[in-house]
Amino acid sequence: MLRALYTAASGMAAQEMNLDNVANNLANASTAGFRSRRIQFEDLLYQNVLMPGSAATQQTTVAAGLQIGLGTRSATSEIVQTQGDFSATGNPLDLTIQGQGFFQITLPSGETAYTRSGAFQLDANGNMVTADGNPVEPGITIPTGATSITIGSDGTVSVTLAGQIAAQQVGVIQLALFPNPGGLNSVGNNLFLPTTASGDPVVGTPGGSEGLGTIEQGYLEQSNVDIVEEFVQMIVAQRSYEANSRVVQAADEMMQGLNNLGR
Amino acid sequence: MNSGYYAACAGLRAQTQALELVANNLANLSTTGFRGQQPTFNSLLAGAPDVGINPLNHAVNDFNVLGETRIDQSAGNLEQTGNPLDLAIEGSGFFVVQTAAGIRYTRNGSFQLSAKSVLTTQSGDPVLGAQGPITVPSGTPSISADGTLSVDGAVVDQLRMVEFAPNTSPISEGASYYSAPAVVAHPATGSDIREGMLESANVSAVTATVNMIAVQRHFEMLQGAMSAFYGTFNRIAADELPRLS
Repeated sequence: MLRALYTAASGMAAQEMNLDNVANNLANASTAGFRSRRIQFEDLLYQNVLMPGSAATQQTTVAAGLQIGLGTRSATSEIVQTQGDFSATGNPLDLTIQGQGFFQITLPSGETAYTRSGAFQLDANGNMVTADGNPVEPGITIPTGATSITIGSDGTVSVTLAGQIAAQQVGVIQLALFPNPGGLNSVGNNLFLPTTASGDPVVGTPGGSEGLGTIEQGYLEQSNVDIVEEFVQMIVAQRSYEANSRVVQAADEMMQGLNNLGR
Repeated sequence: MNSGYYAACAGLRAQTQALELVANNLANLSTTGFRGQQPTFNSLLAGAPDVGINPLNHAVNDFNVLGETRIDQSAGNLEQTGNPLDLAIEGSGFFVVQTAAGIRYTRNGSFQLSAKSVLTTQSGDPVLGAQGPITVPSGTPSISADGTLSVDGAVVDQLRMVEFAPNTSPISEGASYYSAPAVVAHPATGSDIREGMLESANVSAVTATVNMIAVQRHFEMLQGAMSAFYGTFNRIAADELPRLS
């Protein structure tokens, strides 16, 4: 009976975490380049009251046995890798990746972080930086007096200077691809760091055959949060939580009945 | 003392275990690939209904021992996730996984690539193909209905799928894994893989809740029977019978 109480409690804890995750996904529904996460649950250990396959008699064995499970736990929250919607902004430094690649960003610590958010700006020195001021890697500097910036689908950045007709190339944006992007470490500010689970990044120019994808200028990738799915998940979490709390109530009542037996 | 008292006692124990089963099924409502467990009750005294026992004994005898648990093999809902490495099985098949403890089977097809590009489960155990663990080259993987894994059109391997013979029940190991003696598992014939989908638990919240209410009422009924054996019968035997003589 106490087992039922703890089992139901594990279910309630799991649904609480499910709801926490839904809340974070929904809160970031408008975050450009945000990747939603999905929690995976797994069942806990089983208590073998009667082991399946044990001998029932000398000739026969128990076909199914008697196993009582001890509840659930949240195992992992994997990053959903679907493509978000593109919204046209017209800003020449807003970039999206059509594919599985990531932009590389140099953090103040010198570490390289990865992001899907391509909302870039220029700092005082003409360097291409993120909204937080961290430069793109490899660094790209737009000379002063540039009248237009063109970024090709293969990442080539070229500018036209005032008074000149021919465009000149000032750099190439490179993208990184991970063997297991679901295993990246989210560190906030739209940034991801590699882990042993994600594997080492493969860096290349966009448009190649590695699956990095191509760059589209003037568009921003919205979050890949599916509001409908999140709402469904929220209702599931709510109702499962209720069902589990009913089990707690039932176990409590049954135990109460037992305690009152023979009075 | 009437033996029905002990029968009711055993029944209370069985119903307690039944509640624990319901609790586990409900706790795992959101567990990917989870298979619900169904209890089977045996009567305490085999063949007892033929004996001329009173209806109370009869009622108490019927749900007395939780004989076994069977895994519900019905299909769960398929949920679209869009991840190319999320796989669901349509049919009664299971994926084959190599764990430290040996071969395990799972319906949870939420796979990923390890740092060495090996296809693994969420726990990091390699998923087995026809030629053992599968190393996926870089590119866009795609998996066809029969489990053939190809990257950019080049076939890499075929995922192994097994089915269990009817009337055998695999052993739940936790963490979405099942084990079974190798002779029971045979290569799947009637199962298809759906890519970009996951199978949710096959537990119906409605059925589980109704089962829980049934357990509660059985429990109360047995409690009532127990008080009857304990209270009424004893009183008649101890107080009223002597007075008749």
